[in-house]
Amino acid sequence: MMARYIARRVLEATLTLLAVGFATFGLLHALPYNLAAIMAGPTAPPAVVAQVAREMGLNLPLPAQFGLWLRQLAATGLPLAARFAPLTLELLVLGSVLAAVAAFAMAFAQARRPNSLIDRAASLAAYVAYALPSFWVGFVLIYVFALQLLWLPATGPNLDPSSQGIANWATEMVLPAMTLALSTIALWLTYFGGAIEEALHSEYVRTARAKGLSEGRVILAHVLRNALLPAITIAGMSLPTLFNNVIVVEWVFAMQGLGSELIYSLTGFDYSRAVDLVMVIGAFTILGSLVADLLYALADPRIKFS
Amino acid sequence: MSTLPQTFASAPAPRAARRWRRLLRDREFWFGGVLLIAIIGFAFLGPALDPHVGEHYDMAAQTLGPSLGHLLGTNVLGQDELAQLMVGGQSPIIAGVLAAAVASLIGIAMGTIAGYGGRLADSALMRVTDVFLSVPQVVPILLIESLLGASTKSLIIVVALTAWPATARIVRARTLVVRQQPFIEAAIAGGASRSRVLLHHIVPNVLDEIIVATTNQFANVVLIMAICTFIGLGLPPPWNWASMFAADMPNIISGQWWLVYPPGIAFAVLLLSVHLLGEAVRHALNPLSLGHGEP
Repeated sequence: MMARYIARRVLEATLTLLAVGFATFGLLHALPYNLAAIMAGPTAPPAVVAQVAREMGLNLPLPAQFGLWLRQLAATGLPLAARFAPLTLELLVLGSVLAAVAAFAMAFAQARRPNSLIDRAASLAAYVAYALPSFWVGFVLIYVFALQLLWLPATGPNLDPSSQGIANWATEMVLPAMTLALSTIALWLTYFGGAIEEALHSEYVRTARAKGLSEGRVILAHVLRNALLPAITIAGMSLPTLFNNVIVVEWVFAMQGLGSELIYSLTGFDYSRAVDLVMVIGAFTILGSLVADLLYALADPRIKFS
Repeated sequence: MSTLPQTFASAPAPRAARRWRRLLRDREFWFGGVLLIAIIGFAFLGPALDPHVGEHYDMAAQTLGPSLGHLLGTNVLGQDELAQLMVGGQSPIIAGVLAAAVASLIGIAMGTIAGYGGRLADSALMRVTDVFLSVPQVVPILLIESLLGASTKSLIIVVALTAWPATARIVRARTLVVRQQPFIEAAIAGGASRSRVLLHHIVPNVLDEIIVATTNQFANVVLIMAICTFIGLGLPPPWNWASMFAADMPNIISGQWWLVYPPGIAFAVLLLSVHLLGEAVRHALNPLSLGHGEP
C-alpha cells in the first residue's frame, strides 16, 4: 500500500515537472523572436548565434528539440542546483520553522482567550506582516538592526556553515530568515487556529478536560501536539508561494541562492542560464512538496492512500 | 425603542435585509471600509489637493526632512514624498484590481466547471492547476516580462494568467460540497437546465467563498506585482510605491530616514482594508463560517 502511494506520488511529481518543462519550452518557442539570438545574448556576433542554433538543434522537429533540450538541461541545470540550492534551502527551512514557532505561540495565546483583544491583535498583526512587501520588511530590518543599532550584519550568508563557522553563519541568517518568516506567519496562524478549533470539539479533549487538566495544558499537550504532524504538509504546500518572497529576500540580503541568481541572469539578459534556473526552481519546489508528502505518509500511518 | 426582545418586536426579515444588517453591525466592515475609502481617496483625490504634485525637480527643496511645508519630507531630487506617495498608489491599485478581477473570473469559471462539469473536466482542470501551483508565481512572470519587455498591460495579463488556479481550487472544493445538497437535486428534478442550476443555485451558494477568494487574490496580485516592480520587471517607474522605494533605498542608507516607512505602510493599509471587507462580507453571507458565535 505504502509502496504504491510512494510510486504514485513520485510519478505525479515527475509528470508535473515534465509539464513545467513543456510549458517553458512552448513559451520560448511561441515568442516572436529568433530563439538562438535570445539564448546567445544581446552582444553575441552572428557566428555565435548560428552555433547556438546548431547546438539547440533548431532545425530539428520540435519533439526532437524538446528531448535535446531536456538532456542539455540535465547537464547544465544540475551544477546550478548543486551550487545555489543549499543556501536557498537553508533560508526556506529556517524561515518556515521560525514562522511556525511564532504562529504556534500566537495560536496558543489566542486559544486561551478567544475573542479577546490578544486574539484579534494577533490575527491583525499576522495579516499586516503578510501585507507588507518582503523587500520592504527586509530593508527595514537591515536599516534598523544593521545600520542603526549595529547588532547584526546587513547581508545574509554566502558560505555554508562548515566553512565560516556556525555562529557567523547564524548571525548572518537571522535577518533574512526573520524577513521570510514574517511573510508567512499568517498562513501558519490560520492553520494552527483551525487545528485548535477542530480539536477543541473532539472526544479526547473532552476526556482531558474531564480529567481536570487546565485549559492551557489541554491545548498544549493534546491539541497542538496533534497539529504538529500535518504541519509537514502545510510546509510542503506553502513552498511555491514562499519562494516568491525567497527571491527578493535573497536579493535584498545579497545572498547567492537560486532566486537572486535568477534575477541576476534575467537583468543581465543571460537567458540560457535564466531558463535553466527557472527549471531548477520548478524542480526544487516540486521535489519539496513531494518530500513533505512522503515524510507525512511515513510519519502518520493513518494516512489514507487513496 | 421597544423594550420587547428583538424576536418579538420584528417579523423575520427577508434574507437580503438580514445580511445587510449583519454587515452593518460588523466592526471589521466599518474599519475596513473607512480604511479603503481613505486609501483610495488618498491616491486618486489627494493629488488634486496637494500643491506639490507635478513639481518634478525642486532644487531648493532637496532632501528635506518632514516639515509643515513637506509633511513627509522630500527626496534627493526635491520631490515631495507625500505627493509621490499619493500618485504612486494609483498604478498598483488599478493594476491590482484589474489583475485580481481577471484572475478571479477565470478561477470562478474554471472552479465551477471543474466542480460541476463531470469527472473528465474536473481531473483535466485539476492537473492544470497542479502544474501552476507547483511553481512560484513570480518565476514565470519575471521570465515573460523580461523576454517581452515589462509593461503595465503585459504585467496585468501575465499576473492574471498565473494567479487564477488558486481561486479555481477554492471554488471547486466548495462547488463539490454544494452540488451534493438536496436543493440542487430538487432543482434538477424540477427540470432546471445545467446552466440554470450552475448560475442560479450553485454560484449564489459559493458566493461567500468567491468574495474571500477574490479579496485574497487582490492581496496576492498586489504583492506579486510589487515584487516584480521592485526588481525592475513590473510596473514602470517612477510613480508607484515599489519603484519609489527601490529608488530611495540608497538615499535612506545615506541618512534620509523619512523615506523608509511610507511605501510599506501604504501597501499594508491597502491590503488590510480589502482583507477586512472581504472577511466582513463573508461573515454576513455565511455566519457559520465564523467557526464560533451564533448565526
